Amino acid sequence: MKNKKIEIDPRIQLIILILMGCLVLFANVNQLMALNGFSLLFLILNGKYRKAFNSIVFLVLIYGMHHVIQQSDQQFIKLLGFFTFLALRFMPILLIASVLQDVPSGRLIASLQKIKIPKNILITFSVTLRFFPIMQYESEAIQMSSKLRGLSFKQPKNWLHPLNSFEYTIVPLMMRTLKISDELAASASTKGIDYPAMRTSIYVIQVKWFDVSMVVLFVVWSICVFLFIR
Amino acid sequence: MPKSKNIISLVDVSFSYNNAEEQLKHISINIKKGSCILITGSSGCGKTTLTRLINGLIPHYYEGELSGDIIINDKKTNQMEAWEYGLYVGSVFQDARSQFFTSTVIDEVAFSAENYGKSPKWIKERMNSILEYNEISYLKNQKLINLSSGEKQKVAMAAAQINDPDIYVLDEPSANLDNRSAWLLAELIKQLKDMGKTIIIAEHRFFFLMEVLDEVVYMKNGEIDARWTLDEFAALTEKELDYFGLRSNKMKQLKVKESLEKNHDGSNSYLEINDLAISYNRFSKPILTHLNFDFKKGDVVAITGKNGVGKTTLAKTICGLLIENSGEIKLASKTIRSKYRLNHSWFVLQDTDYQLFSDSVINEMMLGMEQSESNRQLAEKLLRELNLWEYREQHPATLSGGQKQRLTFAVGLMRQPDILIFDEPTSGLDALNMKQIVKLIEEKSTKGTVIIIISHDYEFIDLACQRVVHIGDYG
Repeated sequence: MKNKKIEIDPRIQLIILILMGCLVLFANVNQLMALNGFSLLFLILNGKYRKAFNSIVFLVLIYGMHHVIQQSDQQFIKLLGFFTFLALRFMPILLIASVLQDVPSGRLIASLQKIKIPKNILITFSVTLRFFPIMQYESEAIQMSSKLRGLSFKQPKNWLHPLNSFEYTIVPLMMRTLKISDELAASASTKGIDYPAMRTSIYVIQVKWFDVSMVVLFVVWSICVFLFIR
Repeated sequence: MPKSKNIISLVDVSFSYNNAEEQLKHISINIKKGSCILITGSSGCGKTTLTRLINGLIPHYYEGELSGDIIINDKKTNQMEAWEYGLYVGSVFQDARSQFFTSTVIDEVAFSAENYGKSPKWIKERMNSILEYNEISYLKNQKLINLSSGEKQKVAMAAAQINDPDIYVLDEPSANLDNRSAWLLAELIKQLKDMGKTIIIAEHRFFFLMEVLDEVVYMKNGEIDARWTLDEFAALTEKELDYFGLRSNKMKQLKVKESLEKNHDGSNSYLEINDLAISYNRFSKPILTHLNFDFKKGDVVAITGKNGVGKTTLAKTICGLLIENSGEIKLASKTIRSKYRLNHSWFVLQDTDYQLFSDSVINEMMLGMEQSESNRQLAEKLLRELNLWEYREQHPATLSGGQKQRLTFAVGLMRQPDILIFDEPTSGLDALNMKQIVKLIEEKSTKGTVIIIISHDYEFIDLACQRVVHIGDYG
């Protein structure tokens, strides 16, 4: 393959993801922004320029909103601050996870198999990641048909009944998800997923210097964030 | 090995899923090595269940009561482990979205071989030759999500070949394919057969398979009701096929007139489309431009064209789910904006699961409607007309495919639309359900509703439509 895109080892990505998950629990708002900065850098290094750009715009908006909300005395607006706070806190994790989600599943499974993760957990994990795009596609299709019925929450008249709109999204989504997961598992079982011996892989899995430097960068970055930003 | 050897034998096999009535009753059949068998019959006749016995999903994945002997490759299956089947049997399913376990083409093709621990070098070589053989090398670096339905089905076929199994089991492989892709599928099946593989296909639509079949097995209520050799089957008349509730065994040439032209008498046109340009969303480039059509009241018009040409997008735009890029859509000589078009039209999606939201059939009908007595009466009338009244308290998810489709149809009729659009209404439907849909369409058309049908099912178009609009190039 001539594609020169950097591919960070999925194990390294997972480590960073877990560490990031812990760090965001302790960080204050300014530190969170710095952690978001790392996630954006991570996106760019992985060649996801478009997503990085969108996320920057989103983060700036949320950050701005958060400050405005902080100034306000209104209880209701303060309540909104809770959501901006959550958004800032979860963005670093979501961004890194979005890169992990794009790793070809064969590569992901091969890589995680190397650290002796049991096959059952491994398969579940890789399918879970694969499910997000499906869910997105499915919910778009459902949104469309609920719009046809006049049930979509994008139509203002339904804002008075948020629970109903929620139900009309969740019920078909559940039905579809059940059906798809059942068929998916059946398909896998006809392809020898239960074979007792070790899986092989067409991907060569090796930790390279770039992977190591990524972890080092992350550790140094985090230490700096917590030492210097207050 | 002599060609006449039986590769699959079923001896007095009965099966029922847990707590359900018997799906297969005392089935006995021998399938010769290197033959190509079609299993057909109306929905729920047990043909999918039969394929599951051969690829091991029964009893290893779907549990139930199984009796009798199944012998595959001289081995009794009750002595086989779940994983063993994958070495002998390659399976392809109907819905491409839910049969892919991985996210990219090469991962998917390699998946099964990786599971069986084959060496990476062997897998890569085998994969390259399979991709080439199936003429999909150009898809090698693609993600599955970006492929068309025809391409997805090709990848599924390629993935089934990786371990070079002797038997292939295909469960409604053509349900989402246009005619061209269906022919390509048939060609591939023929190649496999020439290599001495045994192929078992469960299908409703089989005109494209007539060249490769050796034998046809007709099932009814879980039993083998009839068996034909290819010659006998090809000689069946329309009437006889009708008697069995089967689709046509011949490729249909469209008899209905194709017309892109506006009708120039123009005076009584009801729905007019003038110089329309459409796209997936407001900000992306138009995929089709300069569309001009005219529909009179009561017109039944089919829209055909290759997979992915933009038929569905056009339909969504007409009914107002998408906003047109440019051009106008007129209803009764008035230009109508997308938001208001929604109130005039109804769209029956290909996948009915998306369109059902409620916990019972009757609630589904009343959902989003004013809870008035007249609406209740209308709901009852429609349900009775569509033979759904007796299921009114059932959960929509428990209905069969054909029933679900009639229900979404009924839900649309509650709104008394002026325009009705169907997206592939016959995919996965047997002849009986298809004819029911045709009847419904005829009824609504006589009441003046404009009916637009997206389909590549020529047999259905021939029965239901008055004219055809073809989009894009022919192929």
